[in-house]
Amino acid sequence: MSARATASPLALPSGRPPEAADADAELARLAMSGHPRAPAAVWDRYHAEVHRIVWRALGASAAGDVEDLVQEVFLRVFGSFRRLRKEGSMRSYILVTTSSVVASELRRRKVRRFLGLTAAGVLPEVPVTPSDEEARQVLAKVSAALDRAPALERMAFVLKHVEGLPLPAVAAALRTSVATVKRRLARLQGRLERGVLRDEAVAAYFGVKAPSRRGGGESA
Amino acid sequence: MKRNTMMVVSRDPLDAAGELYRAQAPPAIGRGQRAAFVHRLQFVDGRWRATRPASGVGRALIAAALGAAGLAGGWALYDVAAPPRLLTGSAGTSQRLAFSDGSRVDLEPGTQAGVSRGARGAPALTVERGVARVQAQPLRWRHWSVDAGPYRLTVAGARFRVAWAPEAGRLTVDVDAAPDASPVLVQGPRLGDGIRLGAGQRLDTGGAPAEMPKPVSASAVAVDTVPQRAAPAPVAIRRAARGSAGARASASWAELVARGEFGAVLAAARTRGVAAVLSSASASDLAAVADAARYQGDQALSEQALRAQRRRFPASERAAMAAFLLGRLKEGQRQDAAALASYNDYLAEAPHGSLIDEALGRRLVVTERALGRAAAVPLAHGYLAAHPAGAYAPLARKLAAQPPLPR
Repeated sequence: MSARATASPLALPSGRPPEAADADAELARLAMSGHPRAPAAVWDRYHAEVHRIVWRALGASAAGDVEDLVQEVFLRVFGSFRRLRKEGSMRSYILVTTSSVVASELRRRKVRRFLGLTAAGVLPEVPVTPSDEEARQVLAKVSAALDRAPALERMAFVLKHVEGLPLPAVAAALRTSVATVKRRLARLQGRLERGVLRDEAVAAYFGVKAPSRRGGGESA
Repeated sequence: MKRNTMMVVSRDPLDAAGELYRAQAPPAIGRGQRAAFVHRLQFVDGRWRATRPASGVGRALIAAALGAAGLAGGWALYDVAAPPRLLTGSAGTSQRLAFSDGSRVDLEPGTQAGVSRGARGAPALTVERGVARVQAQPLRWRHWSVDAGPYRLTVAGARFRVAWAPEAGRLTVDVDAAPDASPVLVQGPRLGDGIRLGAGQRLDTGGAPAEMPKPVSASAVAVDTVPQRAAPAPVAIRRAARGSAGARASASWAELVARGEFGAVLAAARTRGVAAVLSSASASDLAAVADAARYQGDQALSEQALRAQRRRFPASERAAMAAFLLGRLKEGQRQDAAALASYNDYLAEAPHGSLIDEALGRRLVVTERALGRAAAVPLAHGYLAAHPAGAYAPLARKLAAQPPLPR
């Protein structure tokens, strides 16, 4: 499996316009020069996106940890600007750091669950506040299924299918190749198809047709 | 493992799942988070350094009032291996524990409490009896814990008062300030999965002898040394909690909410039909459904119940209370305009209501956030005139003292 990033962060793989790149580069320059207002400016520009990604990846029941993890992301970003110089783009570096922090936290929680260190023995569900009861129940089931997936599959899902980042940006954030991201997402889809999508309510909500017998295997 | 079945999917399930997730709006990040981050960084020798990590509790504790209590120097020995320390307040003096990260614990006269290292080295306060006022700074990766008898509070960063009366088995928690995303979690007997308290909210477990038998409660909690962990829930209380299932059918929804059986209330409401409940339930039941839904995280149902309360019982005290709760709910959803409208509704409908201080304070907070300081300054003056010692007085004074912005 390749662990090599194939997308150039300098190209702003999220497809943002050049003026965003200019502002991003200016912020990076200020931060690296030690400008006293740089931390506040970086926080103001990126904290909402970081907070959203962390919150969606971990869930509302980890509310207290979410804010800690957001702080952790920004402290790591400022604590290691050599990497920023390498990355070139502040935003892509922040996405890389966010993904790393969240993936570590997800792994830590899985280990604690495996060792029986958590009281509930389950990972927190994603926050549930949808407008209708059906969606609420479906989301709870899907969330439980995603909890069982490896951390990088879950992060790839959040970045690609929730945050809407293009595949190269997801690959850059996860420090892997586009092909690997595709494989991970395909595996995750396979997990859902073999698991939660067999639930009638979920299948109906997702518009999934009844399973049919075919000669095939896992999509990954 | 190979399978010979495959789903036939009419649309990408990951896209469909993503849509569900995108429909969830995260709560606003705590207002103090930005300042906490900025203040922890300094540019030294060409590098940014986190100069004030929040893990100070493990390094130093400064107990300003410990000398008078005969415990001077005790905290110097404080480290991972140290046993929990018991502080016994003298009859007429209070004690303050000042932590190196800015956290504070004030023990009222006669309070018995101890501090030890909890999970991940975070502070663990045990209140044997009495009243502690806690100002807990947010910690990275960890939470404060406060044990009081069979109850445990988990705190990510908040200012609150906790009172524990072991003889009566009564716990009271008043939260003055807490981030919207990190309310104070209270767990223990009769509280179901736990209750989350935000700023301005209060929990009183009561102390009715029938529910919290004195002899068992007292013997289980009134100990001479600091327990390593939360004292076990008295047997009689556990029994009472289990026994409540039998009486569930005859209990009112308000009683079920008081017992912490939120799921039972929601299940009963759904059995009856949510639409029927919203259109025909009593004001008391609607309030119970709104509370149960809020505690269970079902904001949509909570909002529906609150709006039904206001629609069906206008000009009532409950309708005004519903307006306030709608404001809190909308704040959590970052809908500041709707929150302001709801707070204004409450202030107009209940000018002498029990939540007037809180409503004025929240309106001040939301106005500053949504409309800026200039808009908030007149409200700050009004707040100080009405509640000079209120929970939001520090913020109001800060706003009122600032010079006007240049035009």
